Amino acid sequence: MNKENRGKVNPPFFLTLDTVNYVKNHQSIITELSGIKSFYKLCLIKGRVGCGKTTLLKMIAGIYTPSSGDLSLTRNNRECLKYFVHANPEFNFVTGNIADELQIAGLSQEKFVDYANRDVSELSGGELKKLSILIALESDREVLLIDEPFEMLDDTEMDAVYELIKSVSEKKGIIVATHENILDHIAENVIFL
Amino acid sequence: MYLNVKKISKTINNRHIFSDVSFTVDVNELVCIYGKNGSGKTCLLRCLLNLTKMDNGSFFLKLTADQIGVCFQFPEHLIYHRTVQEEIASLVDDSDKALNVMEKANLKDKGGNSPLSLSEGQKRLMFILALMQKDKFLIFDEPLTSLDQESKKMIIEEMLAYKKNRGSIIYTTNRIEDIYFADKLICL
Ligand SMILES: Nc1ncnc2c1ncn2[C@@H]1O[C@H](COP(=O)(O)OP(=O)(O)OP(=O)(O)O)[C@@H](O)[C@H]1O
Ligand SMILES: [Mg+2]
Repeated sequence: MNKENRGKVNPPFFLTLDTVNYVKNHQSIITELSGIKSFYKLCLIKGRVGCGKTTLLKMIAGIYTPSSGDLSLTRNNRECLKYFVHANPEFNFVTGNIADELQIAGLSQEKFVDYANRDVSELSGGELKKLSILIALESDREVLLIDEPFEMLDDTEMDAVYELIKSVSEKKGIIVATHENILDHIAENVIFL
Repeated sequence: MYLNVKKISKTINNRHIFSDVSFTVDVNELVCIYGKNGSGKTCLLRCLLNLTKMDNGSFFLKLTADQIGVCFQFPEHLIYHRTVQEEIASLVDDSDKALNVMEKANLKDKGGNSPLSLSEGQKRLMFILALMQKDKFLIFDEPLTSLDQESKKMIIEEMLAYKKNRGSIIYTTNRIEDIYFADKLICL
């Protein structure tokens, strides 16, 4: 399905933020965030170290609840099904064995032959990051929420993941929190924190 | 000379991770280990720290354990204390230095929080800046990942000032843009 058609067939995603606050230990992490961001494919969350990118992404994922205010991610006025990817790739795995991880994610081993018989602890930082992204991109959820997809990836892998995100965003919505600029020119909307 | 590495090799499950790597780290030198994902950078550092065995070769480290500071690729693995303040205090000599770290890492209002609650970039900034207050010889695995442009610039400047005035640093990177400021480059 090409770009033009898709716009007509599927309405866009709406990320609606209504005076969202997130307070932890009496410290305000996200303050009075409001606005409506719409996108068909890709929306970015940008900002400096520690500004709350991950916190916002986790609120969108439903992992954190705002201290006050409302937030929703909808299409056709219905809350979307979301898949969240942690920035620290170690947090994306629970069993330690890659074959088991793939089974939990409901994915066939065939697409991941390179990883057959390997354990999570055997992979380098960048290899583990790449695998987290590959698993997420295969998910059948409507929207992927990916925290720092390029961290720890070398130059070649960064380009490869860029291409993957670009092509998967033709089929699904993707929200990415990142301090890299590589996605800027294809993002339809950006939240600056 | 602080470190002399002679022809070290590492094989895991019959796969050569790296072979015959030799280099030295001199006093006041900034050494970069560059290689793509899975090229063996972390593995090499683990060999130098005796956390894993090498197959061949040898190295000589002219320093005692308390003169060496290490920040791993996943800084979580370094967290030992309940609060950010205690974590930093355990790494530096005096409270002025601790304050300096908190300021530079922008953590002044986070002193009482758990280090685990910090963002990935904040954890890295905290450890790297704290280690630079004290030790003579620093080993940083991917110090520039998970940082925004401003923080990255600050860390590069700190690393350059450190090697000029205080000691030596070995750091790794898998990005070509982060090798230019090193005195010596080891490619894996
Ligand atoms: N315990 C292990 N068992 C099997 N293979 C391993 C083990 N530890 C590391 N490896 C493999 O050794 C290679 C080197 O790993 P290493 O972590 O040193 O890479 P790296 O250069 O640090 O990569 P990155 O840039 O992604 O951090 C990788 O291919 C990794 O999968
Ligand atoms: Mg590594």
